[in-house]
Amino acid sequence: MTPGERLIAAASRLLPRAYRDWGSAMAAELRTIDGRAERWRFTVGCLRVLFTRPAVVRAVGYPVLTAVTLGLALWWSGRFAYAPLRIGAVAVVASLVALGWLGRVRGPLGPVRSGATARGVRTGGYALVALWTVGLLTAMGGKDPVGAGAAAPVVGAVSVAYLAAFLILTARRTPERVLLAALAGGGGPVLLWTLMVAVFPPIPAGASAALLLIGIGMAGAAAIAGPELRLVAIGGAGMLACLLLWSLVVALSAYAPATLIPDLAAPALSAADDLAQSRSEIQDPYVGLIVLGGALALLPIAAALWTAGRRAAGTRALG
Amino acid sequence: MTRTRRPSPQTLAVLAALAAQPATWRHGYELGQEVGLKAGSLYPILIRLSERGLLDAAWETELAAGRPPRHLYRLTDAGAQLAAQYAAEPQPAPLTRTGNQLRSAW
Repeated sequence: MTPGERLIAAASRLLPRAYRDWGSAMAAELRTIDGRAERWRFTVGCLRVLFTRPAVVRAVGYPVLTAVTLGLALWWSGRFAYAPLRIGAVAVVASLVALGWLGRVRGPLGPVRSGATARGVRTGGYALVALWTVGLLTAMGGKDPVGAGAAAPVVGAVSVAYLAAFLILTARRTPERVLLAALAGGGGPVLLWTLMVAVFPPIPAGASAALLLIGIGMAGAAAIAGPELRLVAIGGAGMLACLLLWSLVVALSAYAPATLIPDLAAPALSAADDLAQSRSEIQDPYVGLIVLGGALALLPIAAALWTAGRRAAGTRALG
Repeated sequence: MTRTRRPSPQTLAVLAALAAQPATWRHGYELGQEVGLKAGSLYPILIRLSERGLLDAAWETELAAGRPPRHLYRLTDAGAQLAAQYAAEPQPAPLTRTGNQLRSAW
């Protein structure tokens, strides 16, 4: 066997069984080609075909992505001198990565529903949860490493709940209507709240309006979703609204013009210090949203587990 | 059969080459040489045609000495029908072999 044939045979082994004939066909064809340069050109072409098959991209891509993510987590956690925080931060990332793998196998978490909406929401969910987790641990670790080390398991549990809810919402098993209901019920309150802040600035100094809108969004999701997996839609909408609103408040507190920031600081400060202090303090009334969202994320998880249990019982009864 | 969009010029070239000798089983490499496509462009076309039921693929049964069996290809009835359909339509542009066009085909 020539090196080219060996390479093609090795790449073929990554293909699903139904496609392996194509690799064998390429290797057999290669043996009939004259000329070393032409044989290599043919080999390179075949390898390009094999390595760009979606099944091979998935088979190779996910392990590579996992290794890169864990490598980055180790590098990022190196900034924490306090060992329990360092270990906790890596454990949180590892838990999210492990959950991501569960999201690929058939079950309540996966695989992802086909279509741009589900894939987009799942990708966005990964990005938001990763940003929130890394951002929060980095900020907490910078101020109080010992406290952050103690809080890391809680942060991890909340992050896992959020990601699990995103996976359930976008799984093939979840009806599309439920996903759309959660998106409408979660995105609607955020849009309304943004509109409210833009029309009647500044950002409200309390979270009551946000909570009211989240409640309305969840009721809307319940109405849209229909009876099947209604809890998934309600919890998904609430979780999504909380996470998006919290992210929006954090972004606005850092980058919004001064007119959107309410004056929350002591009057003795200079105008610049007053604004800086108010930017920091406006986040406080909304911190609870992230915990509320984590709690609401438990609804889709409970509903999915209950449904999976019923399915399993049904399968056993049929068997 | 439903047609959603016109195949790329490269796919049409492969269909036309196979349709020229509908009963003959063809080898991949010589087919690629005939239509001017390298392996990296030809095989995705063959795989896709096969997945859509437009191409029959089989292994050689009459072996040349010292050579392993090779894959053979010919159009299915549906493939021949599609090739005839496109052959009857006016051609949009002649197939030119620039690298960019080959890449954009798939």
